[in-house]
Amino acid sequence: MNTVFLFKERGIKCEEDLTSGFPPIIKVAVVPRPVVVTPRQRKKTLNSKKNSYSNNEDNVKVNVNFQNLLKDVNILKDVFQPFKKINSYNTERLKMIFFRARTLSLKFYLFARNDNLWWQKPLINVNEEEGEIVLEWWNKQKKLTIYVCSDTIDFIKVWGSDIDNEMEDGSISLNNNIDFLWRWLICA
Amino acid sequence: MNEEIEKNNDEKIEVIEDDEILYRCVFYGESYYKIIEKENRIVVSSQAFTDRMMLPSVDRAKLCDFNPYYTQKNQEDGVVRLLTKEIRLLQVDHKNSKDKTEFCYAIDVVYRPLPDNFAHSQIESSPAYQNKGAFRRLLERLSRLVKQEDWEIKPHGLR
Repeated sequence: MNTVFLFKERGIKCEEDLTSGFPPIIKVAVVPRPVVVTPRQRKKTLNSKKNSYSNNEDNVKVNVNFQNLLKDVNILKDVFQPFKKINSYNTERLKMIFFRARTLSLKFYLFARNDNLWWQKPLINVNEEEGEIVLEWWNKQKKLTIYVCSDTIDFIKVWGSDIDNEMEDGSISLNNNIDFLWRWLICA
Repeated sequence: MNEEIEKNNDEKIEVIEDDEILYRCVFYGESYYKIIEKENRIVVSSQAFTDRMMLPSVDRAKLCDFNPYYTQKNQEDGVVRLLTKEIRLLQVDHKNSKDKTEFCYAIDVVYRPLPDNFAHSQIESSPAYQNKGAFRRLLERLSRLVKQEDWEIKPHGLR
């Protein structure tokens, strides 16, 4: 299958089937976490098959919940729909930037959804010449702008009425946790 | 005598006064503005001011008879009003690789008439932006300058 890696986080790995079109098919896999087992725990586990089964069941449960989340109508409407134009771009570079931008949006969405937080669709601008996609969110006095390029993702946070001082910028990576940006945007 | 008066007038027109009003076209569509329904306001995207050469264009209101429709490219477009002084007072700093401020760019509005647009001017920096980050911060600040009452013409569908 021709897939593109979306993200790996909280023990879950997400990949998208590139041949699926819209709505996309997302392949979800549970990544086993390395477990350090002491000799005492090992002995205990071997003596109890029931415990072992329970661990597997936990994994399955996570997987099923996550699959349901991705089939959710809201996620299609709020996260995937705004990025529907992906297939209209011919260059692979711009497509990959689109995937990166959508993954970022998806990560924010999942964070907001899992913690029952406020969510808003981003305003999206595509700059084909520069090879960047700009995502913008507003929440009262706060604004978050994210520039997604092929190799970098930069953000600008703006708040308050003092436009000269109430601004901060920086860079993030999709491989790292980016929840702090959404948390900043929504907190009063 | 007449030549001297004309020369003086030309020099006067070259200088953009601090209290001059400027117009900027905000293109109609889904991307350059957003309606915040809960707060009943229209916010402008920073991308409404972007420019490939990092020189956003504006029109001098007094050179187009204070007619914002002059700045519209299409009938559906919106037009916002900006004050020259507020743009000149914007602080845009240049940061080094360690995120420390090295110097501040001087932001100015410079008259750059075009053959087909006598009112055309540009928002320029001195020195020229040395990285994208500074220009992006300028865009944020420009979009932040636009208040609700600064919409001379609202985009189609919001009038």
